[in-house]
Amino acid sequence: MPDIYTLAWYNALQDLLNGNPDVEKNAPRGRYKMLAELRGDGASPYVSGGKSLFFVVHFDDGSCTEYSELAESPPRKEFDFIFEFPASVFEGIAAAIVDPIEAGLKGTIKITGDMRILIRHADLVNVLYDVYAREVETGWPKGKPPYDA
Amino acid sequence: MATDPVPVRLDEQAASGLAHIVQQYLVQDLAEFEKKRRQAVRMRGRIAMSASDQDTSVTLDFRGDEIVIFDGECAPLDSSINGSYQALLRLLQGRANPLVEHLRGRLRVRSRPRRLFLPLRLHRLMKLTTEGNHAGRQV
Repeated sequence: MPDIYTLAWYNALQDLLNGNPDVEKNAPRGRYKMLAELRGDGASPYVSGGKSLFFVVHFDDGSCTEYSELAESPPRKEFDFIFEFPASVFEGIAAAIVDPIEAGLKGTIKITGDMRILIRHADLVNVLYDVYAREVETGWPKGKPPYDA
Repeated sequence: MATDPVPVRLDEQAASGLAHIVQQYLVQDLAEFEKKRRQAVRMRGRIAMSASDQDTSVTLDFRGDEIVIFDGECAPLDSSINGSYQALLRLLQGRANPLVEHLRGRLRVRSRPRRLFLPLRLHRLMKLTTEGNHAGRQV
């Protein structure tokens, strides 16, 4: 059970994405680079308040070719999609207690990119949520959501 | 003669993700498709789209010279489309028609007589177009 935000955790997620036929089926064709920015919101014990954690996910014709954390903020122009989360919300998704669709519609997650591709491949969100919430066994060394207020 | 894209702006109070998604979507689609630009210029009226299972709504106000997007159902409405998130998504994906979905009970579509066809016009404007390469898609 890899701990959240470790190299083993990112590698496990990449392997699960590539082993899931629904990901390959629902992902857009072509190459897409996604950036996730998780902002410390005072609730997450993993991302300090005022700090951000970045990771990138690359897809190439439905295969996940990169899933890794970045040391610092990359140029945003390099990415097709940017997802900005409060860290505790992302961790809530990973712990299967936050619905990413609801968070996206309410604006808790800020999404920037080509919305036509996002809408066309919206079913991929459900598939990714299943991978995060049910398939990967995440270790929570500093505590698991929901966090105490 | 080419038609310039109608400006699409968020109301100052609009903070929902749905409003931001719809705004980005319209800006991107109108920039790409001349036919949709012509449709948008001709449209008038105020229509709400509500994902009832997610308790989220937006209102699109077609003013001819601009399109303004509000959070929630913003009166006075000419039309409204209510349904589940999945039913609305199927509309945008072009996999469903509002009239057919209304008759099947999967959507509730309402319209004032003077804007009777606004929901159908909105659907024609917003449904995904299969052509186009979405070039220059990076943020």
